[in-house]
Amino acid sequence: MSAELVLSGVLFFGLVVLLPLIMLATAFLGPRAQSAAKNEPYESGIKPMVGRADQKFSVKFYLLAILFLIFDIETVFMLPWAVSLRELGLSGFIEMSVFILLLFTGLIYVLSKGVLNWR
Amino acid sequence: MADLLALLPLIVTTAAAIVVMLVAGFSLFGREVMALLTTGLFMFCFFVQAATLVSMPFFPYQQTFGSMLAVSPFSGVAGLIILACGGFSALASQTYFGHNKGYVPEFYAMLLFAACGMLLLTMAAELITLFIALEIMSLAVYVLVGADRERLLRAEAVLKYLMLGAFSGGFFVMGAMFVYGGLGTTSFAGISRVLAESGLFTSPLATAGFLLILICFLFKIAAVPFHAWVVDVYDGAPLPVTGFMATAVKTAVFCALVNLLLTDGSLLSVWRDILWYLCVVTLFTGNLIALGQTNIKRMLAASGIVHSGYLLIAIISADVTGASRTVIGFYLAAYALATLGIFSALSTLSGNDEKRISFADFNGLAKVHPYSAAMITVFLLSMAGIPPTAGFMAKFYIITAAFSAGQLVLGVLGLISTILSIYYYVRLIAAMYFTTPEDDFAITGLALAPAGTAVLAVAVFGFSLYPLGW
Repeated sequence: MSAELVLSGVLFFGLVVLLPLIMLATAFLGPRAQSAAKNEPYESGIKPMVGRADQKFSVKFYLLAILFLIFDIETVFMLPWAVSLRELGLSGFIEMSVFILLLFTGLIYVLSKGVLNWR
Repeated sequence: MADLLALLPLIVTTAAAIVVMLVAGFSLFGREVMALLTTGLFMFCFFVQAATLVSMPFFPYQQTFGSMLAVSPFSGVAGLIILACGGFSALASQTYFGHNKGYVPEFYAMLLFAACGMLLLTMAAELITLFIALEIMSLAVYVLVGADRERLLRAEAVLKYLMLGAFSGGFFVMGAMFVYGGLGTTSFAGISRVLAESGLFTSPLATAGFLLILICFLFKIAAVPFHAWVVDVYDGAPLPVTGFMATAVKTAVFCALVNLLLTDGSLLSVWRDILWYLCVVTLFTGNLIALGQTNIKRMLAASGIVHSGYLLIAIISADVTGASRTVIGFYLAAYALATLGIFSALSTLSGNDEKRISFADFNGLAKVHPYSAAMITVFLLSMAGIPPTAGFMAKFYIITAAFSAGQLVLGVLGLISTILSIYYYVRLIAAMYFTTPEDDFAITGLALAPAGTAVLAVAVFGFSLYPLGW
């Protein structure tokens, strides 16, 4: 018991002390190449949006964000169902199928409205 | 299996909504076919709901899905009213969008999705289920109000409704959390059981929670002091949507409120005093607002506040027997008939971009369109409570219930409020009949809304003959 506590204490100490030390060390030891392009925040290859907080974005970003949210929630429901698949049995399978079917009709609707065509 | 049978109307309505959504997505049909399709689907759902209601004695399902939902004759009747409201609103919208901009095919899908949320709301027997149903309904209604982004009035209405609605939803969740913290349960039956054992004020958490839940309900039924949004939002929404909001949303929320309060009446006995004062203030504030309006839509919105006041009278004087629920259901149905009727009549007569909407715009309507004027008169008299209309019988039952429950002062105040309300209803009738026409009242578009109006005008008389069993 106490041995485990000591071991985990050592591990914790290592994490708390060693990680910042390594990060500091890279700042001192590593090579430095400063340029304007390098100092910009990385945003998936697009031109970074740094500026006023109330600047306007294209509405298609919001659409994508909402779509992501819907299918993200799907995963949130799928994982616990997959874990307890055997306990839930056939009724759980049918309920999940209905849920996926409903989401699928949503996907068909999204396709029909052409939201996924990036223009 | 019995669970699914109890939910059959909801499942059918959801399926119908999804079908309409896909049809709208692929633009398979034109505007008029969409309206007819939606009306047909609402009628089908209505019959499924009616069949479920009729077969209820043979399948006694009180609580389904682990008492998350409860199906009762009252929730069944509320569902019938909601689906009928949806059907008549779809009919009215067919004519309305014939001479108004802002049509999107998804309008009809949203109408059906809102009805799904309302049906779930009528069955909710637990606070979290109630919240989810409330949000399904509200989100669909926000879209219905603000689908036409181009018009400033719509944008203002949807902004006000969305912001305040989101706040009231937040209040509700906060209240549900406090109630769970204080009483250890969120089901209506459990709440009643704990309250009957220990009383409300033993738990400060639950007291605060119920106050927050009450605020959310008062917002949704537009009772004073949470009524300020209603006039602007009803004014900004398209006419068929205003009719739908005034009737179906009110029916669903009142049904949920009655389910919460009258599970065994212990919560109502705590709230009765607060509700008494709020009810009186609601009646007279609503009347005062309505007296000052020159716009018919705003007048009807303000009169909706007054009708919420009458329904609060019924709730305050209610007991746990089925008779109280019958009175409330009857009032909701009578109010829905008259309000839907006047909004479908206005959908036809208001003309391009709702240009005829003030009292003066309807001067002399009776000389040009005698039948339309007569039907509007019938609806207004029903809302004012003049015999032999359904509105009179509904008010009669409510005031009688108040007197027999010993709420004499409240009953008398309700009568005074009725007398006050006659002024602004009769004002429109006087404008239609006793002035000379200045407008030609030209009407364009297919005549589906007038057909719906005629059906509703007959129903206003017919429904007043419906015998209440006491």
